[in-house]
Amino acid sequence: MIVSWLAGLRQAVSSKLTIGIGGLLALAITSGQSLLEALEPPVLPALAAGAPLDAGRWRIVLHDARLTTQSRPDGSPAPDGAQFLALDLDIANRSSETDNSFVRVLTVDPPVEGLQPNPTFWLLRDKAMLSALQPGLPERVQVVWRLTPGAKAPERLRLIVTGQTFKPRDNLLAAPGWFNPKPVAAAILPVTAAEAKP
Amino acid sequence: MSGVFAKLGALVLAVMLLVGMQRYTPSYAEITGPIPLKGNLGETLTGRIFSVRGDKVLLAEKLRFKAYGREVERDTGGVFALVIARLEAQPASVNVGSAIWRSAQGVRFVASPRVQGAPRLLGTDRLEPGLPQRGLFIFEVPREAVAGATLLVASSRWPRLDTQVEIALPAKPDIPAPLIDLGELAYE
Repeated sequence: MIVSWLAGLRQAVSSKLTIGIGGLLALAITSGQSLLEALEPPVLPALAAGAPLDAGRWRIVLHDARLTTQSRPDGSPAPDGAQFLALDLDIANRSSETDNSFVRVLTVDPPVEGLQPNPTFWLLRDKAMLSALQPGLPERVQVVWRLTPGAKAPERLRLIVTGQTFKPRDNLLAAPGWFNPKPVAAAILPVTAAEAKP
Repeated sequence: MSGVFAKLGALVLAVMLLVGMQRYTPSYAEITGPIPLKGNLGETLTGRIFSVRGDKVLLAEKLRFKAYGREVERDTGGVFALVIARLEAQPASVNVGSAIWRSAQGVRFVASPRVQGAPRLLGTDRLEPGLPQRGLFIFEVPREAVAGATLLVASSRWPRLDTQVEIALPAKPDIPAPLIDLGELAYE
């Protein structure tokens, strides 16, 4: 009688202990996670103009950023006198397949007021819109953002480069691909003023 | 003693079997991937919904053509590879929307979007049964991707359980021509 009662007590205590330890562990993990999130984000490595950077799928070299009145390379000025922010860069596709996701490689951060999102990528070789990059063929590209009329032109532009990592087998289809976009570098570029009208 | 060895042997065997299965089980993407149909230049290859015959490969450093009423000239950091081919829908109308130049190293080059509007580009118009089209696939590839390549033709870029025609291209291609005018190209 007493023996069975003792055994029952032991079981109850051990199960309560297990539940308690599990709860404490869960609490510790969640508080650790929130602590980690509250910590300062890691400082991104600085990328200088003219220096090459391997951002996973892309190798890029940023060149100068400038204000311009042309909406496209070597085009005539936009009729309404709008201003544009143009950035030259060299970009190469390091992956093994033709791709057009280069539009997501650059982010303006902090955002510039009056700068419209979704810039146009121009292929300088053709002076035409860039629709895809072939692997192993680096190209000089001009990225053009439109400035809202009347907006103050920025003096400096901070750009974040997003990199991706290659997975030989993804989790869904076990097919190779590029995943996990993450900021890999930040560049601060001076914006030179619009060129004088000829 | 021999019982211990037997147990150990069984364990080792089981581990080997499991590792082997994990390594060599074909992935979902492979099982449901393209169904290859291999051939050579000059052969008519008939897949599920279309037939294709690759005739000739031309290489050029520059292309000139007329697009939308304007003369266009395109140069490249690599080389333009042109494949003259004949496509026919069979048995129903179909869009053969994907042509890929796969280099000997396995790099896949999708047909170049830089020649949009060029005459007789294949893969842009719908094919009708009984009305074969003869025209061009144009690729832009680095020089080292030219030799020993394969032309992949399918109805989409990643065909699933559908025909992908794989045409072996010359292992030793010619020297690229300095300029090819697509308007003066002899297709026949």
